Amino acid sequence: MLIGWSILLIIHGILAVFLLGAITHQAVGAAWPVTKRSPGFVGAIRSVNGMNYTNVVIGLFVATFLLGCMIYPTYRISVRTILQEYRFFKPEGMFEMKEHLLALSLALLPVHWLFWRKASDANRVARSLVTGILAVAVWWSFLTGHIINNIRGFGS
Amino acid sequence: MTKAERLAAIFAIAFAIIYAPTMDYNWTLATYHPIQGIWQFGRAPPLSGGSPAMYWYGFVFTAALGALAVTALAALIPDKLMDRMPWRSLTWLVPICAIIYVGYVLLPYATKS
Repeated sequence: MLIGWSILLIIHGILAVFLLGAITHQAVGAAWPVTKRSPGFVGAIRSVNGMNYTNVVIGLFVATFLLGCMIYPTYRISVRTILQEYRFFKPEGMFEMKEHLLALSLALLPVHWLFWRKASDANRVARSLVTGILAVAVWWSFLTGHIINNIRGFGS
Repeated sequence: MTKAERLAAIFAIAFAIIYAPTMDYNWTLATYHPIQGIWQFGRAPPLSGGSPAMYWYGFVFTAALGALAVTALAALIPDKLMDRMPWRSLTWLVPICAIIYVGYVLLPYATKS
């Protein structure tokens, strides 16, 4: 039974890696765009067309979120109780923050899609900041998940 | 700003405004008991036998339902009136305020040892 949940957790983690890459490219491209193509790794990230990432970001976000919702009860029973027992309050609080950040981010997805569908100078600031909020939420969630998995992951 | 963009912005803003106090005061629409696999309507205490009660799903339901109702009402308001509000700015400003509020509520996790 636990192996089944671990497989789901690993798929959840892999999807999160893809999402992390996509949202980071989109956020950097929106907040720090290049005026002309420049060589190098950073220049390549800055010059991506963020519109190309929108559907992928939304699809990966929803898929990762739904998988997380499925795994969440197992965390609540098998992991959170251990965190409380060993008084690991900071990782527990980080996970609490993760779930709230993701819920708030989920509600931003429709407007994120619409802003990117008709990307313009008029919505550039709002588009960049909404994408930035999503990026921060995804990074926070990824790092928190990684820390929690280190504390009480598969095989622990 | 198109009507669809405005309504999507209103949904995100309403969701954030409803969600922050919902998680703080536990206005959950449903409770899930993971060991028994039982859903209960509204806020329910943990069942016996050391089973935890999960409220977070209910927070999302509360905020989503509330935000949908607000968005549906906003759709009825004439565009001329709605155009006066800075929806684009509120779209990011309100969620950031909600995140700060949630962070403040969760602050004890960072300070207790």
